Amino acid sequence: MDEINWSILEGQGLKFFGRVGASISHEIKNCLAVINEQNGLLEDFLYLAQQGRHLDIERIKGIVASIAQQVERVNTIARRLNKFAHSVDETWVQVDLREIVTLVVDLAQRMAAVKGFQLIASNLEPVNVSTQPFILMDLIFSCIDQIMEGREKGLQISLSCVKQKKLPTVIISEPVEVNEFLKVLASTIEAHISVEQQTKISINKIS
Amino acid sequence: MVKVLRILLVDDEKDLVSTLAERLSFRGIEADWATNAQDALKLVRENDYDLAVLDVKMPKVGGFDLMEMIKKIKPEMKFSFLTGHGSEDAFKKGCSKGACFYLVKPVQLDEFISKLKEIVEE
Repeated sequence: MDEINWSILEGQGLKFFGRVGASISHEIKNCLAVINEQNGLLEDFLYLAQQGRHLDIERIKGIVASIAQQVERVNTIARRLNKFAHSVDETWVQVDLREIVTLVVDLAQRMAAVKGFQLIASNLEPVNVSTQPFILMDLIFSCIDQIMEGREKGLQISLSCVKQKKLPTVIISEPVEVNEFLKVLASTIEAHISVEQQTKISINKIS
Repeated sequence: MVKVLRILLVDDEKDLVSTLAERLSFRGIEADWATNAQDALKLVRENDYDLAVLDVKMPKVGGFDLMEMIKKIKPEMKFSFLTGHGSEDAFKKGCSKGACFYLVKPVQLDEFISKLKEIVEE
């Protein structure tokens, strides 16, 4: 690969990493904010109880359960972040395409919602591929990003993975313009992008 | 007679705004809450608030856009923003559009209340 393509890949890859990191840290901050307020509410109830007000045990149970729910939510977010961070550990690995598509949808869900789009994963067939997970995720994410830039808010974008013409394929429900950057990403992982009513990313390397 | 502060809290995290509103009520502040722009605008039409505290990033309609919508209904209302991460840019953007401060989540309630009073008294 020539130097220009490497620099495109590196620069865009860092941007992708940064955007995902920023979005996830926002999500974690939201969970912490909820935990902080609910902990404060417990303190308020304890204070009021000390002043002689009746302590509603059912209400306390509800708050405790809600805090536990937020802790589990943070744990899920952290697990995703960890998986994403480790996607750069190795270049070529064998993966189930379902995992990649699901992770992209999970990571980009809030970003899409803030922009007024709904992102869903549907029709995920078990398909094994040999690929560079980070580059593939960047490619899928970049397609979604391009769709969100050019379309009306409220659109539902669905992602699926299937085996089509014997090739593992990621299908994005909307068309994209295959620009130079998408071509570089696709060629790096020996994938091909075809666009009609939908966008199809076919991966040539089958594990 | 001391005037009771009336505020509107808008954030897509329901557990956050509902809890914050309850805690504020213990401290003598009347707070209504909404988790989206549509519900917030309905509350604005039906009530008089001194101030609205808006989350910057919300699905569909974010805090800055919601502020513009509210201003068309109640031009005299004051605003503040809640954000996951404070940055000078966010602050400048909020200020240039009429808000005087923003608070970074998670908020400290005492600081939050003193800021609310500060902005309303300005």
